Amino acid sequence: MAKLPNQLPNQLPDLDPVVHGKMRLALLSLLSGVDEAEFTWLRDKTGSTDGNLGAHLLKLEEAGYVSVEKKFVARKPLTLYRMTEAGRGALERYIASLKELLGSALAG
Amino acid sequence: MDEDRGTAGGNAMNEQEIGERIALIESMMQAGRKTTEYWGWTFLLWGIAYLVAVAWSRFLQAGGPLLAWPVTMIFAALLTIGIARRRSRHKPQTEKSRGVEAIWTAMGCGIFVFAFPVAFSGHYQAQSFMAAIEVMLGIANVGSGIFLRWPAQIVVGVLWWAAAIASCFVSGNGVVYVFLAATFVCMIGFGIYLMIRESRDKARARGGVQVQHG
Repeated sequence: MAKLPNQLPNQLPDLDPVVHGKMRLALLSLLSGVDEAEFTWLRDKTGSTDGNLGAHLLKLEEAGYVSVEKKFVARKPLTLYRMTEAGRGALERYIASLKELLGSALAG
Repeated sequence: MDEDRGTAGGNAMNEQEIGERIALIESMMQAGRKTTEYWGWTFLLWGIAYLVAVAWSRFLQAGGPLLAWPVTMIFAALLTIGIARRRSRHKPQTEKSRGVEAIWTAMGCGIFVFAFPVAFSGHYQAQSFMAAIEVMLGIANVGSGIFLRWPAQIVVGVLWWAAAIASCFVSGNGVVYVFLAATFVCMIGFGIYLMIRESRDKARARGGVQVQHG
């Protein structure tokens, strides 16, 4: 596959590095379609390990893209994740940037 | 994690990478939305509950219709709540699932609010009673069919309405036959069709997307 034209770096959109990681991109995409999701559901959907998933969710949380709620249901801990408005905006901007990049790639 | 390395700035990506990311976004969004849409079992369960209630009220002397319908319906409602809670545990709720749940919960409550006072007030009249129940079932099916943009469920709702119209023009026994026919087609048949579709969907999803690490 051809690389995108390097001579046009200033005209190409920058991709948000927090969203760009494949796992975090998958997590934001999953959360964009649901009201809230449990840690275990996210783990099952992404096929990730607890440690790996926790690290990526922490990055998203620190960036303000997801919010976390921890509670107990029937004495069992339950961690719920929700996408924030900032997260939704970041994902939308990322998708728009990807489309722009793809357009440039095809044109180049 | 080193997956961030070398990705700052769009010009580090090629067409294939962009395509992969777009495919990942699409598949994950779809996976999230499709999570809680499996309700075929409820159609089957309620279809069987209706059949049990009809059989009990017509062929068993113990209790008769006065006991058969309330007992069967309350049991089916409790069973539905229990199974639904078990199945939806660990699964997220979507706007779509909340909307469909709202329609069916309102319909279920409506039937209970209507049926019990009519049955116990002494003003029960078979044709209009069954027609009202069938109209409510039609409303819920057409409502969620429109909401989900799903023609098959709209057709099921229209069949319930057709049964309601037919119920107004038949004899006492005819009302039961109309209701049984509608139950077989719109509940049991539709429920089995949904469950077959669901198992196919799940089989397809098992070979589905896993996020590649790194």
